[in-house]
Amino acid sequence: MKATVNGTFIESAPGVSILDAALSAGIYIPHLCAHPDLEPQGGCKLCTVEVRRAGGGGPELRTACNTELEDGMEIATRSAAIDELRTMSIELLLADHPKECTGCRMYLKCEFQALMQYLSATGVRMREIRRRMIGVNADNPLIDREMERCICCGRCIRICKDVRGIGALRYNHSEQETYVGTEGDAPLKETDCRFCGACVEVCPTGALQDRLGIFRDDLPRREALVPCKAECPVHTDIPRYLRYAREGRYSDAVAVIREKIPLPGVLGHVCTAYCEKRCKRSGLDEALAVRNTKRLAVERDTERAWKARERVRPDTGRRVAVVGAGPCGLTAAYYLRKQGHAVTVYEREARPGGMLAYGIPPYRLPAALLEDEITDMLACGIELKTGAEVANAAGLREEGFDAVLVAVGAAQGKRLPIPGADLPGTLTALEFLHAAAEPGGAAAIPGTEPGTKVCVLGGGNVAFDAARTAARRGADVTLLCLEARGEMLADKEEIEDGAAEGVRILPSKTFLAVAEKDGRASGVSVQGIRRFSFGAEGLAVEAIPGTEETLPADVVIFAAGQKCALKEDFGIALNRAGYPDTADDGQTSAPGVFAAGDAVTGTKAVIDAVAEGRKAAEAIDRFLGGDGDITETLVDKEDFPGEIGVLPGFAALKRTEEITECDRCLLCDLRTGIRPVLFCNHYSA
Amino acid sequence: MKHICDITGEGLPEAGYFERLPDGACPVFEAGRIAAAGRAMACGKGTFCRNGLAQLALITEAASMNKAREGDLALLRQLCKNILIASDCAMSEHVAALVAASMDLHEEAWSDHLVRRRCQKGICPGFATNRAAPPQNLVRRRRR
Repeated sequence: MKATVNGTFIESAPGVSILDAALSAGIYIPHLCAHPDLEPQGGCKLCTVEVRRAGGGGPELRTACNTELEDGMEIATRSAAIDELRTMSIELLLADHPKECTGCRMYLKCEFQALMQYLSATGVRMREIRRRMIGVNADNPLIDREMERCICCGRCIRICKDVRGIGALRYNHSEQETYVGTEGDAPLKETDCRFCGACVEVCPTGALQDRLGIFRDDLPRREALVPCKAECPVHTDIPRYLRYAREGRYSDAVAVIREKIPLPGVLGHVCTAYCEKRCKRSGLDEALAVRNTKRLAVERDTERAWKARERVRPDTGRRVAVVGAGPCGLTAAYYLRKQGHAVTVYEREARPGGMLAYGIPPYRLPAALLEDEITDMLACGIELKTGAEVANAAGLREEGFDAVLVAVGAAQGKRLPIPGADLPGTLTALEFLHAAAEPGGAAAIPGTEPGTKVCVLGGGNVAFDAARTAARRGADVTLLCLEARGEMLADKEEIEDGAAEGVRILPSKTFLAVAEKDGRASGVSVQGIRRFSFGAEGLAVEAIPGTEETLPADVVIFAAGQKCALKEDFGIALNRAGYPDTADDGQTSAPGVFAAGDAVTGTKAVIDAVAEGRKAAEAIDRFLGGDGDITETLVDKEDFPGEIGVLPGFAALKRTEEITECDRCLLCDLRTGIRPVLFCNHYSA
Repeated sequence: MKHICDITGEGLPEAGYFERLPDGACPVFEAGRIAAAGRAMACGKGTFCRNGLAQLALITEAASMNKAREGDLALLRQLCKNILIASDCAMSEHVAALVAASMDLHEEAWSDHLVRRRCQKGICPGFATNRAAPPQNLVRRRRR
């Protein structure tokens, strides 16, 4: 179709509206109720234009959003009649709209405000209308509804009904007032609303807004809109794999996970699940059980279709040595091998896996699963040398490796600086867990046989790993920590499971000394505290006088953190804390020697180590002349239709351990598919 | 323009109502009553229907209540004109046409309400003068 707008020639395919054709040609026509993802309603009249058709006749006023462009049309976007109509439209809308824009969170982001300014319109001629129905549904968990700002454009109603296939919103009437509400003014939780946020996304004013704090404001908006994905250190496309899992497409779900994580089953068991901590559903009731769903998808993936899509680039002739076969080192090795480099991994222990093998007890992470997934990774052609301790990283370069990655983790447990900390009968949690991981392990440690008393000092996940491991061996375990019960660092379920397994938890304690009897540890002297803090002078506690006591213990386990065990003779410069000094790309003081993972960052989660491994692989690949692009597509991305339909009782669905958990997902990612409305300054004419 | 809803305004007075306005009826009051009825029928989709009829109702009500502002007559005419052009709704077009007819056919009555501040028919509440006897207790107190 060929036509002119204000004398400028434009062209479009048949069936395209005047508005879309003009906007595509860079010619702005004011519009408000129109939206690129919605069927036009033609209600606001701001897009009114004058049209002369090819057959002749006088100009007619037409709404550009719902009038198709025709051959030979002559369109004018400005005239006295159009200006009068547009100005009056804004005046009418302003009559029941607050005039104080600066108090609105959408200030300077509001389409209505932009149009007022563009059209220089004010509402002073009209009678001011005070709305009465603005309190309806204001009390709901995820969406702030400031309905006094609603201009009844109907975008929210249309996207909910026409695009999402739900229809939770509608125009309601009360006495003389028309307002956007729900059937019977029921709270959103009692309607078919699936809290996808599409209504908020298309709202042109500040009437519908996301509750503050749901999305991070330190991220680009489109990224922040999907909190689970944004929060995951490797940005796994969580909504996408949940959708596949829900459809029973487990192999595709695992493929999505594997595009970012080469250890999906492992993380299905032990991931810290940052995603769940910021899951939008937690504002409604409880976060989605993402980690468990990942585990279920891996367990049910019998097809393993992703395997056929894995690619290893042609050999580059470059050699890389990776020191440490923990999650960071293995991840880096895996992606470097896929970039075509020859990779050798050196592991000082007898088995690969690092903390996964020696730090996390088998009741949390089955050893067979870990072995299977590492075998999968090594299958792409990685050479693994176990029982091979590397004394000097820089020396590996001299052996002919083009690059070296130091990923030795934070392998040294810390003891508290209290009297008696070095007595026989004391050990770090890492030493204990390492011993327990060996065949016949912890049984060999004196005092962990059934009935003996074990005190674990610390309140994090490692402390619970040690405490639960000892408790499972029949020991009488007491876990003591500085933090109050509600502030303990361990995962909630670890605390609950530990307590259920008989671990006695004594929070808010400071440790005075390890008591001694017959030359070995016999207990722990502690004192109750009100609060504590870490400052420049170190730990400061406010102790409660008169609460000192000594708890008997045959074994005292310190779970007070870990540190990097590297020494200066390793061939790379270390900082004052004993961690490798690294540049932004992870390169150490030795050219071509990189460091990553807990060895650099200190103790972090497994998924953080995987993210560090990916980053290291990118940097090393670039260092070796590659493009540093380790992204891979293991399943074709499908455009998910925006229609999600009604799921009866959606808001009341309870968190489950079944695959049906996916039904609870709010599908936050669909919102990123909604196209933004561009303001007039984006157009050239 | 295309109609965006199928509300026809059933129950509202028919076209020509103001040509045959019953004796004793005030055209301003009647226009306000029709505008208010139309406002209550609006489906909500169209600005000129939803908000336009609301303004018609409020301004005509203000005229009846002796609260009219300068320029209201011109504003009412402009509102009626633009609702007829742009509401895309049979009901609101009908209401606007009726209000416009009231103004066209009963210009004197509108001038009375908006300029001279009176209602010849004595119907509009803003112009009614009510006299009530003082309460008896007050009367007795004065006698003492």
